[in-house]
Amino acid sequence: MLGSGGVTVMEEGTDMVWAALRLMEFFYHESCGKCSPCREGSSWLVQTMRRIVAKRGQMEDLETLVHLCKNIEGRTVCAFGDASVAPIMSTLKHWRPEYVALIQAAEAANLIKLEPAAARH
Amino acid sequence: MATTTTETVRLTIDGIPISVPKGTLVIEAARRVGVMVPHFCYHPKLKPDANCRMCLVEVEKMPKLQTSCSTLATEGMAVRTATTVVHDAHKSVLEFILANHPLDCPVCDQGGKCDLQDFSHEYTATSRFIETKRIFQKEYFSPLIETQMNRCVQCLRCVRYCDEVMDVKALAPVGRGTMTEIKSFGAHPLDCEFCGGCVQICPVGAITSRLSMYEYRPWMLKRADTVCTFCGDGCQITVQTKDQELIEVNSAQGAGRNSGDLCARGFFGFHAASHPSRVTHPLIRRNGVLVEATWEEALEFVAEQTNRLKLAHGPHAFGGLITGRCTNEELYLFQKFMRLTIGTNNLDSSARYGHVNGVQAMRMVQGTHRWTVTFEDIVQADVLLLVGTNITEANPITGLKVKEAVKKHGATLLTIEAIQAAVGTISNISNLSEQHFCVAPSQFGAAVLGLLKAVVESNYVDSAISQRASDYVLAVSQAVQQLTWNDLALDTGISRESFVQMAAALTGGRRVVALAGQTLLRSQGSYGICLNLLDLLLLTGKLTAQGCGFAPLAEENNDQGAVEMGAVAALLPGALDLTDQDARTQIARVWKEDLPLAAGATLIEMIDRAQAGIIKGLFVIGENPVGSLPPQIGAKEALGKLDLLVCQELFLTETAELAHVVLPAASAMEKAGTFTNTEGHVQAVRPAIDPVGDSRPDWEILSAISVFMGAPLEYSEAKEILKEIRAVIPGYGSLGPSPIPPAVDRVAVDRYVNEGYRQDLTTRYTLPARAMRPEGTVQLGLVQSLFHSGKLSTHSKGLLQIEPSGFLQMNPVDAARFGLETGDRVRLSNGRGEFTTTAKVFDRVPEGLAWFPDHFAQAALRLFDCAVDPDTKVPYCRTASVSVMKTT
Amino acid sequence: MTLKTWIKTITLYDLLVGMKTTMSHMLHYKPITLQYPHEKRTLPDNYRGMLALLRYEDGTEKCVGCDLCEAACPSRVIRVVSAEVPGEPTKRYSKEYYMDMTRCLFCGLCVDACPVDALGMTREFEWSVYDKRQLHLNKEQLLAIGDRSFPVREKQLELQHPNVAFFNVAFKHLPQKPG
Repeated sequence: MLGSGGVTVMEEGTDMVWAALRLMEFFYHESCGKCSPCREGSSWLVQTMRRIVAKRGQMEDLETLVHLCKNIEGRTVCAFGDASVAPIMSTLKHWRPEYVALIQAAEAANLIKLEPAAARH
Repeated sequence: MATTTTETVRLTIDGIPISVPKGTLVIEAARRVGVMVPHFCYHPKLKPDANCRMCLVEVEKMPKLQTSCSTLATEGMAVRTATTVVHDAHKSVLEFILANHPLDCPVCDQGGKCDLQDFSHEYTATSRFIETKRIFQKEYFSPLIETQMNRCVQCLRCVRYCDEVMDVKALAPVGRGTMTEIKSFGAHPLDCEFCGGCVQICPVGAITSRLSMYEYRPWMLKRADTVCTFCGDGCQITVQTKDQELIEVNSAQGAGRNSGDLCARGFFGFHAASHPSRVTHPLIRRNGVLVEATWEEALEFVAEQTNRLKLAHGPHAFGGLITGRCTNEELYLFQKFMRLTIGTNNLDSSARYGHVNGVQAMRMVQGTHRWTVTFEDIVQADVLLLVGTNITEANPITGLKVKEAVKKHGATLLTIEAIQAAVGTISNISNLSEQHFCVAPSQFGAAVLGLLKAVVESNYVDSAISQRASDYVLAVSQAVQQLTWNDLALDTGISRESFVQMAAALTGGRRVVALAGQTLLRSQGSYGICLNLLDLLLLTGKLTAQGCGFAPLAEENNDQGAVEMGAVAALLPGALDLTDQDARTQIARVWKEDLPLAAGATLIEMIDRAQAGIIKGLFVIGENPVGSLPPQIGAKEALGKLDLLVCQELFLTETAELAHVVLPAASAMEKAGTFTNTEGHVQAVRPAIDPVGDSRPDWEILSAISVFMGAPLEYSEAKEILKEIRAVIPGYGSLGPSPIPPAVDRVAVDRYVNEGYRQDLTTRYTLPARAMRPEGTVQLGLVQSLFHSGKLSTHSKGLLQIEPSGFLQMNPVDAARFGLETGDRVRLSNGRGEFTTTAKVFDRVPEGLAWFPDHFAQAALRLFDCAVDPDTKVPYCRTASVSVMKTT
Repeated sequence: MTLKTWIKTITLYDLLVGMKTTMSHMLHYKPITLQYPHEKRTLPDNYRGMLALLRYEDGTEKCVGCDLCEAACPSRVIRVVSAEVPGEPTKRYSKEYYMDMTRCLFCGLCVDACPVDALGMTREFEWSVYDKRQLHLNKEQLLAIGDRSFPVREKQLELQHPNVAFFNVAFKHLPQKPG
């Protein structure tokens, strides 16, 4: 399933990670901001996805993505939250190698790896 | 209180069985068994919104986790809050909420009392968030309220409180998704009621008080639960202090009669007590100037002079004035001092400015000096009639009860107010009303008469009363027959149909409460209007019915106490007549001495007698006749003629400047005692700080003077006085969570309908003189501002931030007529004098009227004339006809 | 009693065994007492000496007046009076900062508690005074200790993380808190 927009037909060879990001951007933009998991989750997911697509991802991100999606799913006021995690969940399920390839490319490029402990004051 | 038995449901929470009333939320049921479900957006005062998703719990037979703040408890429900699934859900939601939180706890004022901090500790949330955090542009919110939107968890409690409880709607969520931030709807910076509700209700540090910013950490503060010293609502406040410094005031959810809600005065006005201009040492006039002295010198001087004058001119050469801001103990001791140590009934309190009207009317008709209803009855009422209350400004918390009745319980609100139904930055009660009559204060009487006429002519008169007291009903019917609808319409601008419609709504109500506020009680002829209002309730059968009654609202926090303590000339403690033989015997037994019998002089009479040289010595406690009465009365000259003027004051007021001795008094933040609020509920006042400088509580000063005079009234603490009060007035001040209102005295009602009504019925049932308004003039009225109370609050730095000075408020139509705009200088003048101020266009003001806040009106007072009520001796000096001219 | 024990007894053999270490020191003389004011011991690396307030590289105080050191201190040494920085609206600092060193245990909990690393433990220990009131230190004194003990100062974390740019900064477009 690729979200709530019915059937989406994509060309063979479409970058599915990119497609997931596109869909996620849509959900991020549409989130109304009423309930916390969807409001904060969608922005978190979209930022992580952008990073992966920009080849700045890391392997732990994939686990975080799955966790976040599961945490949003079923905990929001409306069904929008459930729908918004579908693109990432399903692409991660069916096209996981594409994610891995992007992250490996990132690691290979030896780009700056973000420190995991984020908030440092 | 309504004690209806409701259905209960039984459920289990974490295996603990509990039965709760139907309609209880799961989160509330859990709290009852001691299970705290973490939450941000839930608040018992607000409707469930379920937006934070923090309170997820597992409910048996439900596939998904449920938010306990929006799920109703149902029969047989099994809730689990302590499972791993639930714990993980809380942890994950917390991780989301913390994702964009700036974690600036070290500089956040909420640190130490923050829900987000507490839950983070509980769930040891570690964040995996490594992205860029969202940042909002810092916005200047207001001089008193600080916002830091980066800390916001978007629970919208503030927005919902502002709308649901306060009915102000000043805040709104702006933006979408993760960029949702709370902003003020209207003007920037925020211009609202400044009730501080958003500060109190914010679970995190997004909205904090700018007044106490960075001054404290919660664990440093000492708390004292006391009662607010501004209006008569008697809100319980918790004063928080740090090393004798007033830091913050708040009110715990559900606490006191206000159930935790406050207004701007309560929340931001506490700094009045710590103003640098407080009188801190006794002052004695030497060679024409007030110089510092020791307590011994000052007390000795007062005692010596008093004894000398008493010997030379007798006890009736003395008078005493006390403010309704003193505690019951002080009011009681003051009247005891005047009646016993001095030996005169020449004493009065600030209840004389208006509250006496309502009390005397109640005593006359229903035989009580208190409300027969409580705030709970207002909330439960189905019909509420507000006459001249200006409730949002004068009695904001009673106003909240009215709003709750209308918004939550669907009561019908009928208003007769001098306010135009305009949407503004502060809530307007007339917007909530079913039927609103906008009439000038001078025509409130006409509006009430119109209602009475409508009741009589539409046969809404209760059959029981027409059987029981046919003479009375007939007399009233005949009296209202004399009035014509045409005259009424000319006076009030309200048609017969509207009157009949309102009368029908009033009669149709089961629980009807009529509230009379300061605008009414201080306008001319208000004693008669109060009696007419009581007639209206009596005729429609609403006076004696359960949950019905008449409720005059007090302006000063202890006006009601002043009356009940006998600190007015004609009343003894317990608000009994001076001539009441039983009461005199009872009091004489406790005092071990007889009371003076000669009728005492009231406020205006005392000034007249001082002018005439009959009164030689005056004790003034916290009262300021020179500053509050128009100069026409000649208070200043009269007080100047006195041989002895003793003032016990916080500040050097206009009156205190004339005094021979000024004794520094402790403010209510510094003393113990009790206050009686407008509904007659006695509440404890506790000291939050030590008396400033050398100041002492007023009762201590009075006691010390009596000792120096050689007739000691000695008490070791305020509680001892309360004990004596209870001996004089049996059962006074139960200090419980809510008052037990007296019932209407049937004997008194019978006496009234058989006899009492006759004496002034014809005068009461005539229309007030129609206001002549020549071209180029407006009716200037002194009004109460929401942000001030009396003159005391003008010493509070917080409130001065919101309203630093008085403005002439005027309807846009009138303003256009005079070519005025907000900010223009305007000169007001009439035969008595002139006064220049700044104009402000304000669409709440009815056409033809202009408002000036009472609190800044010293210079404007010379425009006003003063009429004295023949029955209650209340000075009416709140309106004047003035011509308006724009100046530069 | 055998001959062996009898000989041991009359030659005080046990005493000699006991005094062996002492005797050996008599022979190989090497003093371990330090001539204190002239000679000083090398302090261990994690020595916890006098407390000090630190500054950033640009000379601004690190302390944000959060009162956490005061809360953490087990013997109530510290008193912080926090306020808004004059001229820098919404920025928090400690207007006054006192340490009563007579009570200090040198446990270092305040240093641990400090969220901005504004407190440091120096290696100073020579703080004996004739009047113990001199051990009641104010903010200037504590900063002076920091200045002389930590000549190398930390850089302010500005812009290293987007939120740091928002942490305790002044907003000049806002008016000062009402006084």
